Amino acid sequence: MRRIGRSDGAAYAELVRRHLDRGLALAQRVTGSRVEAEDIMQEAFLRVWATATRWQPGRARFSTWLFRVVLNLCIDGKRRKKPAPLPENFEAIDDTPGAEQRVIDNQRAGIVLLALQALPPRQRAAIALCYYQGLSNLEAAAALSVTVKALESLLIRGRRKLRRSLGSLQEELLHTGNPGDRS
Amino acid sequence: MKINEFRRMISAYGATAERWPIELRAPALALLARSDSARRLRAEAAGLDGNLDLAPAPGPAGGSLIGAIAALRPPADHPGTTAAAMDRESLLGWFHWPQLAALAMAGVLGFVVGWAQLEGTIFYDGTGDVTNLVFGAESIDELSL
Repeated sequence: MRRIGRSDGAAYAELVRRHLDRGLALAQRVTGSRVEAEDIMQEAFLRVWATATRWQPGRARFSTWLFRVVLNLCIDGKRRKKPAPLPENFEAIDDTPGAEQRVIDNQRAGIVLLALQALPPRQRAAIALCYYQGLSNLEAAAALSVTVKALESLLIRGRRKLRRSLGSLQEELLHTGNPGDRS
Repeated sequence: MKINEFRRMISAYGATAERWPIELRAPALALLARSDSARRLRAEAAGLDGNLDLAPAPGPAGGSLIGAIAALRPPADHPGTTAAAMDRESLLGWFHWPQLAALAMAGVLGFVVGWAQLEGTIFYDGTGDVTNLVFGAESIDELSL
């Protein structure tokens, strides 16, 4: 960040390469849209460039700070106007071996994505950070600018809603095997 | 660890020990070893985790996105190397040339008025006309304004 503060374009490009994928994944998990996530990452890295001179090493990890910027853009911005559509081609016709199972898996994945998108944004963000991005509770709380206790409340409420909305799917999965084996 | 604490932890973080807060892992695993209730709670959480695992992982960024973001940064006019440099630049940015010209004119006018008062009525003809005060009535006529 110090080098970026001195207008070092190579350092900036390296930072983009190093952190873009994780930021993009978080933005996509929270917004449900790849296109929107890419826009958000462009804006987030512009902020990195613009504020690099004010960066204070030791106050927070860069990735945590970047996640906070990304979440602010995802949640607090006026971007969220309509629920994101299901992924393209998630029910596409496929006649290769194992196609039927893949179609079922795609349908289930679509249902899970819809259930996640139906959560309030901060609950969805908490689950994205802790469950999918693998952040510790301290890091996730810092990224959301809340206490660990508040983070846990978001997670508990989010998971409770998901359990309810996915209940029927879960019943079906219990009868057809553990989906965790396929992940 | 008590069962209520375990329930809260697993309701928040799910069934996989790697996602639990590091300081709670050992006591939670110890509770699991001796409690049927804890094992049942974990199995319930594992069901939801299994559903969450079905959501596809977002793909990595393509080279074009990386290139686009790297190219987005403003070029050489970056704020500078230090906060002090940034402050200097923002201060100078406040005074663009019209403001500087107006400031210079005000300074000249102030000097002339002050000098005229000191020296008597060199340019001041008593009419109170500011143009006369500065240029003198003859000068205005010469300029045919």
